Amino acid sequence: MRKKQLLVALLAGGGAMLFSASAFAQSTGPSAALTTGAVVQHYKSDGVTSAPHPNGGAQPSWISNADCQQNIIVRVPITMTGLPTSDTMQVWAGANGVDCTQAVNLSGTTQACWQVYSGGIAPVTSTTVDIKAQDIIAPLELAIGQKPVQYTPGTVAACSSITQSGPIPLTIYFLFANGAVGSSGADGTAATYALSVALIGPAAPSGITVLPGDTFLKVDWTPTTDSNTQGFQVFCDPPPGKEPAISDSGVSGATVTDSSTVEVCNETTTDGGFDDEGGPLPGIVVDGGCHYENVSSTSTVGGQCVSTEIVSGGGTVSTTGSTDDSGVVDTSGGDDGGSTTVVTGVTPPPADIGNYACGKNANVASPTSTEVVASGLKNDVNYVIGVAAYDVVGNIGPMGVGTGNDKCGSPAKGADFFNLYNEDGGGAGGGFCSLDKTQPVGTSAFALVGIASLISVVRRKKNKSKTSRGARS
Amino acid sequence: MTCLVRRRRVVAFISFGIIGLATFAFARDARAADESMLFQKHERTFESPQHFAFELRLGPYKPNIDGDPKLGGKAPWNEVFADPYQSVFGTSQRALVAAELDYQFIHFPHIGSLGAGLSAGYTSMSAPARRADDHTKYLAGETTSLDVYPFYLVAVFRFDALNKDFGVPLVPYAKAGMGMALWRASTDIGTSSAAGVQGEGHTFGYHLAAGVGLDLNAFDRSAAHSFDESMGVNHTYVYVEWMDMALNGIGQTNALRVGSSTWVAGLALEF
Repeated sequence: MRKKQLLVALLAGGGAMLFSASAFAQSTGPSAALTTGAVVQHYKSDGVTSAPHPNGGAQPSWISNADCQQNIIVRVPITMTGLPTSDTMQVWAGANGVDCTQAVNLSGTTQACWQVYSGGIAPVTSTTVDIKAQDIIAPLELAIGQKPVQYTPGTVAACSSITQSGPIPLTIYFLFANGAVGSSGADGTAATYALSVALIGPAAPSGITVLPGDTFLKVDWTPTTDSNTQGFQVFCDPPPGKEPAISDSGVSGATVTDSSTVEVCNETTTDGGFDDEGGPLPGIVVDGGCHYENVSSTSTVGGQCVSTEIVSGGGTVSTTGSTDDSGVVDTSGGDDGGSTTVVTGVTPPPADIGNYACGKNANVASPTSTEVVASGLKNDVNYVIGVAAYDVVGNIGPMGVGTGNDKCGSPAKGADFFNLYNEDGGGAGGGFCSLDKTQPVGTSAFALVGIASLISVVRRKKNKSKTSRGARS
Repeated sequence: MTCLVRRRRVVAFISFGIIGLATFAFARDARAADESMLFQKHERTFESPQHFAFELRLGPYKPNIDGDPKLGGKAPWNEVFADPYQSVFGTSQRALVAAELDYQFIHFPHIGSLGAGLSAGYTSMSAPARRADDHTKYLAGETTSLDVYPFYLVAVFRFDALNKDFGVPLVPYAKAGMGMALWRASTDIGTSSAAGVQGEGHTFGYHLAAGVGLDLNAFDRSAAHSFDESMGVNHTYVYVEWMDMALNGIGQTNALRVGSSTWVAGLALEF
């Protein structure tokens, strides 16, 4: 009886072993090895120029939105030893937690991995494998079982396929297999390279306000709580350097926001009553305090407070161009950026980021910053302002804008204290060390005499005490 | 050697002025616990040499810029920094913070001490800038500021006979000398300029002051003596002072009159 059971067990075990061998191809010897090189580099699509991320190359293993748009190349060095010449190496990708060495994840209704490289690579001592970013990303969002059975080249559309903010970890598998590509399993020899895909920037900041200064705008916001935030970028429309002439009167009849502020003092006049002869007395003015108020006017100077580029629905939207501030549709698509996609709640494409970055200092590399002074702007131009957060690899998140008058800001020629002093006839200034040319001796001598006097007094006192001590001794 | 010791004391008292005060209070409690006759005898006789005084001061500061006759009665400082908005919301600073170090080179028995004092201070004020085309409108994003660094070099006479000979813990004093201030007008994006002139400079003038110090030693003499023994502090005062920092531009054709006549109060140590 026992012998019978043992025989059954042996037969069952042998059958299982045979099944495994047929499903996962032949096993390699103990000396077989497949390893990735220590240095994995990302190149632009030309395969020559490296594709570093912003912020000093932080997170070099990430693929950003810009990387995806450019379809960068992930170049992985591979070393192979002791592998059967009949096998080929295949390159697969899988989300974090999915083991692509398992046949169950490579085909059928449970397929969770996808091929990211065309064809198989025959065994050689060493080689490099160039994997394209769009090939990695395209099937990422497809459901399990819906992944492409065979290698399918990705397109730029893949860069818009992900809606999740923050990095998505992936693993690239280099599998040695025997059989048809896409249907066979691994033979137990594999190497891996971990990377992350981050295509969407952090959430938009809120509470955006725009305060005007002389050739600058002070933009404030409430920071996003998105942990992927690395900093904030401010955008302007019209783009700096492409402002309309000041004589641009904007769309006829359009309301233009003058974003300056005025001091409003609340004064009420109460009934003063009557005098002894029955005549009315003047009213009594009650001071109700003062405060600031933003003002709006129908002034047409500086253009209107609308933007097809930064504020969605803010004007005539053209798929081939944009509406300039005089209301003329720019069909060339390139005058002031030519894009209609840098709008509220939408992640701006990389090409527009440079166009609309709002003058100097528009980029603040701090996740907790709440303000930036965007300088180098043109006075009397009405700018629509947007603020977006970006992550560690430079992905710009959806745009946030202010509401009402806070949506726009118009820098204006300012008069600070020193300007007013100068206008009123004051003539001081010129630098800490400036000498009065009419009396060059007076100013400097005055200070020098004072210092010299003090030194003299101290030295005399010291000499006296030394002399008296000498006399005593 | 004596000079070295004095220098160390100067550094020590500048650095540990506040700590000294705490020590003063602490020593008072400690004394109550254990006072021997021997200690009491000793405290009546010990007094360290006294050559320096150090003052910390705080007071309101309104520069007399608008008093410049060249302005023809116009008041740019008042217009910018003293409008109702500022007083209501208090966004600007008006306080002067300063320190003074005196060297008391002559002690007149039963009269007082004469010395030389050098002081440095700082005050700042800020407000929203105006639009150039309409000064009644503000540029809410732009702040205009004026920073002033007043210095003065004075002769100081302290009449301490009342305190030392009659036990009245009041020490009147007077100061006279010359002053100088560095100033800088700025906005959010840097130093101001107007008509090609940088908004920074210096102003000379004279300095007069008179005040009275209340000697805190009178309230706890044994603690004061402990303070003297341990730290070398002879007297600790709180004081009030009226000062006329008349920075009117002596020897200068054009000067921003950043001086002020004001009351200040503070703490002083003699050591």
